[in-house]
Amino acid sequence: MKEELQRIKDLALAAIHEAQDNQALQDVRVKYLGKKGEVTALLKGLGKLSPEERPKMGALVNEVRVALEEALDAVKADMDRKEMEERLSSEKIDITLPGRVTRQGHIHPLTAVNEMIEDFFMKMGYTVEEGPEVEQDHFNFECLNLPKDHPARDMQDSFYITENFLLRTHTSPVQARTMQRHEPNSPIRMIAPGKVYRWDYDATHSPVFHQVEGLIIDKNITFADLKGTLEAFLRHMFGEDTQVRFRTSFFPFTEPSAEVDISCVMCGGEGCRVCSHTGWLEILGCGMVHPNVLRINGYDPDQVQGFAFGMGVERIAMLLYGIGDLRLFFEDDVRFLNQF
Amino acid sequence: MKASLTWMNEYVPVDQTRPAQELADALTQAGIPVEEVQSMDPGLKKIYTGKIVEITKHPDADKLQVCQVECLTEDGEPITKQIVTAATNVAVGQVVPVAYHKSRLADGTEIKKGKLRGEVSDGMFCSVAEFGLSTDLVLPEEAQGIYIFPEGTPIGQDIKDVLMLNDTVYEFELTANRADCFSMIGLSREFGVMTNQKALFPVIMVNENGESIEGKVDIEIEAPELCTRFMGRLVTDVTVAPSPLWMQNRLRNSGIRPINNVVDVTNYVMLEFGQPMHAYDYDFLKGHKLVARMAKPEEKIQTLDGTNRDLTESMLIISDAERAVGVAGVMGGYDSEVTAKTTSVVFEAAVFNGPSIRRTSKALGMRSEASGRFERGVNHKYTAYAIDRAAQLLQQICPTCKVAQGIIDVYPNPVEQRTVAFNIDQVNAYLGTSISGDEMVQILTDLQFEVIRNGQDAEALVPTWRDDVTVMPDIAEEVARIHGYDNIKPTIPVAVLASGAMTAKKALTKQVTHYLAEVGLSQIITFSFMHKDGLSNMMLPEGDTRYTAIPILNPISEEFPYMRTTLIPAVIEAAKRNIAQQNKDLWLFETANVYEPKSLPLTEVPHERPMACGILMGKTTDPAWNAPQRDTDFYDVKGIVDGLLTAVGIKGYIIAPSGESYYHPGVSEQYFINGVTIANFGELHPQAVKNFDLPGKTFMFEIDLEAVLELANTHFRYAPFSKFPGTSRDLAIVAPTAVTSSDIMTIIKDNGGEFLESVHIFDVYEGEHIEAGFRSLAYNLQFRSMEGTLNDEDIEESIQTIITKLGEINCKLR
Repeated sequence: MKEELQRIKDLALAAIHEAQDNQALQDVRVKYLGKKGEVTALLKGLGKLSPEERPKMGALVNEVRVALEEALDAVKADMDRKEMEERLSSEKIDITLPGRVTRQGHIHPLTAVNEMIEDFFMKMGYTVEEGPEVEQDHFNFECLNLPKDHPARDMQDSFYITENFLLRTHTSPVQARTMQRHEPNSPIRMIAPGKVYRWDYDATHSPVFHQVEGLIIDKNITFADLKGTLEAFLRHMFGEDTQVRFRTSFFPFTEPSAEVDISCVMCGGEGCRVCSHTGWLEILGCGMVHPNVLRINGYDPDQVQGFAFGMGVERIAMLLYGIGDLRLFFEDDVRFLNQF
Repeated sequence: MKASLTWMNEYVPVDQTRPAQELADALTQAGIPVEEVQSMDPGLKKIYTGKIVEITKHPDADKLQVCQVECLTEDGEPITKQIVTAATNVAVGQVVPVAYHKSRLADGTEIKKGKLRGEVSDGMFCSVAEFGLSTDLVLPEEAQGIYIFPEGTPIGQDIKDVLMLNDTVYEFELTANRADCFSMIGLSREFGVMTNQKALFPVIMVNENGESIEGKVDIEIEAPELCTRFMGRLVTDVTVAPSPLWMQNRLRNSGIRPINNVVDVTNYVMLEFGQPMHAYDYDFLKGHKLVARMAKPEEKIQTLDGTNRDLTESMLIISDAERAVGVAGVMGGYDSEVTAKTTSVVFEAAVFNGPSIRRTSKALGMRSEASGRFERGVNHKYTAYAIDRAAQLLQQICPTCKVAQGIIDVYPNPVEQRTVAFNIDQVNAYLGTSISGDEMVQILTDLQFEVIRNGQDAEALVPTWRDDVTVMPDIAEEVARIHGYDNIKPTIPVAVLASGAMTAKKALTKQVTHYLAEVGLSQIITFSFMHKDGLSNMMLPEGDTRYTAIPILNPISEEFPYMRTTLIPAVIEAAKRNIAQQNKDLWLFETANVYEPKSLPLTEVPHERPMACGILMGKTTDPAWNAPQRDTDFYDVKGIVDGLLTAVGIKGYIIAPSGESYYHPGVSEQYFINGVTIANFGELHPQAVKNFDLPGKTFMFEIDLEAVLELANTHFRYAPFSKFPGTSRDLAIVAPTAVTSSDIMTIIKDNGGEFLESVHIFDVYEGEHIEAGFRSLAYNLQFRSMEGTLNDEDIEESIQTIITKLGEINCKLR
């Protein structure tokens, strides 16, 4: 029986190593280790042996079974690995071909910039307000300390609908409306993005353009707060290294007033064509809310003070994205739009 | 306003060795913005004055003359140069500009000694253009030919010195509040403060060497609200002639053309004091009278520029005893203009109401240096200085003249000087600074405010020229700008915590915009205007409310006379602009307002309705190797609209034919709830495609974002789903073409039983193997139970009911 066992083992091992594929391997497994297999048969035959021989033979047969199983597993693993390698090498594709096309839409750059502005101020606790574009002269001018025939009205050539209605020339009337809607002297933190209109149409002026207005009113708001807020905002928009400069200016609705410049986004302040070799770019106007504006809109300048600012969205977008021509925003050429 | 630094130097020393840009920047920072720093010298070299002493004809050329010119060498030695010239305006005795050998002209040309037709020419005579003066700034006769210097101009002088071309000029872009800075005196004060110097005031002295003005000139104010001060002086024995070069140079460098001594004096005084002036020819004033009054109905005037103007009763004019002689503060009249023959002059220095001048100059379309200054406000106190200064200057440059004794000054309500009270702590609390009281007082004193301080309280007497300073914040600005905005330390406001938020409308618009971009449309922005032709192209029926549009009184162009009531035409035009650029495959959208008047003409602000409008045409994707291209169709648009409404949680809308004239009646629809249309979309009507001159099939949608906002519900609630395996069944149904997919879907859903989870249509077929008048529609039905695994038997009854019900509308299984 020992010889028989050795013979079966040799034959089986030979068959295992000769097996060419999984099926052949499986056949070997069945032939020797299957229910009716030869090794199994030997195990079954152990019963006929004497009680002394039985454990010894049993151990031997089991040894062979384990050896065969290990050999089978090893060859199988080897075969699987080869098969995987073959599959991987045969399945190589041209990975440089483009992926499957999905249609891609784009947000207009002015919308994108508006959202950047809104995000910053909403995080600072400002609400985003809206107001009518066809506005009353009263809100557009008078509530902002710009009486009729004030020379500063020339800064803004208007589109008129009637004597008393016009297309708003700035987003500032939303300030007035917001104040009038609030409980007098209650704190306000708002911005108002939107379309504005001025009678000017050439390479650098569009009759329709976009502004964002800002207003904060509370007991202790200072000019220094105005500086801090706008510096933080402009660095949010143009990067941490941006230099910010405040120049004395005049707006009828603020006092003191300032125009704000940033270091040129193109040359970093060295001086280039974009900044007319000054190193600075004018970016927004601002100031402390004029006491008349507070009073006209129901607030008491002895109780509260605040600041206001206004900026052109096109200007910011042009500087952020390096757009040289204002008209591109309204031509709506997809070769422009699809870049954002 | 342009200011010559050389002239400025007369009032306050200007260190011209420092880069001119530095001081300009300091002024700009302090609110006196310098727009441009200009050098008057265009790079001229070696051009000197010389006197022509002899002229002979050129032996070989008819059109050339040979001139002998007395000059000085660069070392100052006398020399006679021979210059050959083609100019015809030269004469013996004239002093002219001579460009020497190796000189340089304004345009960079180098002049060298040479021969002209055999005759040596040791340089060249120059015209004004050749030394870089604008021909707008010289008299017409001076613009032609060689420039001739006034008699007595010394020879051998560098013309840059003679014509003040060594000058630097600041061009200011002044803000509306700083009326005072529209004058050299006003600017000199700012220069002084910026350079820690005190500006000098000119010494004004008039030698009244004529007869008394009494009984010779009469001045009257009929409109005291609009003319608040009117002063006059009479000067006789005037010889009208060109001004001396120093005055011409200063005017020119300030951008004003010299005309003659009298007119130049008025302009000079205006530049110096900011007080516009006028000079009348005394002999042409009827009744020797000047009246400030309103124009009479149908009154006319010919102004200095030769134009005839129709006046209206709301315009303030100056008249003599009979007729208008000037539009007050805007422009003088032609008839009473000072001419070469004038011998007696009446100077006018008056203060007119800004808004009135503004209205008049706008109505007449005339803007002048004078009107600009009156609009901003003129200092009543300076009127008196100006009238004397004019007399003094005319006397100085025209020694023959005699200034009549006395001034006429009509000043019914003298303006009182204002005081502004403030508190030092209050100013610091306003600015967020801790500037000392001493510094504040010093700054204000430097600006010539007279400050009386009492502890932290103070009172400032405002200088007459600072009419813009009325309240504490104005004081704060003066302090801040001189202290330096840069020196204020930035802080962040301390405020009660509050969360930022946007309005629901704004949030929805944002969501819609992002949704549409995500599904493949690019956002456009177009003008809010329209032309009614767009509405006709849309074939809107007469009486459609969209014809009721708000007209703009002064539209930007004939294309855009109205505020738009629909986005359709503008969106189409945007697509067409793209098509013209060969961008043919377009999926575009805009979210914007349309303007619906509540009444016309407007009596209240219109309703501004936010809309989303899209246009789709061409291929759905770019060409690709792994996906076939296909044309955009109705179902692309529908999918976008359906997806959008799902995203905002709108359900239960009713589907109906579009009903809009501009959509293809068979390929369009609308969704509405409670009678309100939410969305309208489909293929553009082929006739509209033609009307708009579009290249082919075009699909559009409009979504009323206001209606969407009303109905949006994004408070989504969770519904439990089954854990058990379900079963599915495909039904291919042959249906008459009149039966819609929606009809079949309704039957399936109504009769699918409790286990029906979802239904999808996955095939629609018409053609071969299907009887004419019928089509095949294939549905996949998914069934699932919350309680256990489903078998085919569990759903058999439902399937049979569906088939029976479908049979009732002539549909059968394929």
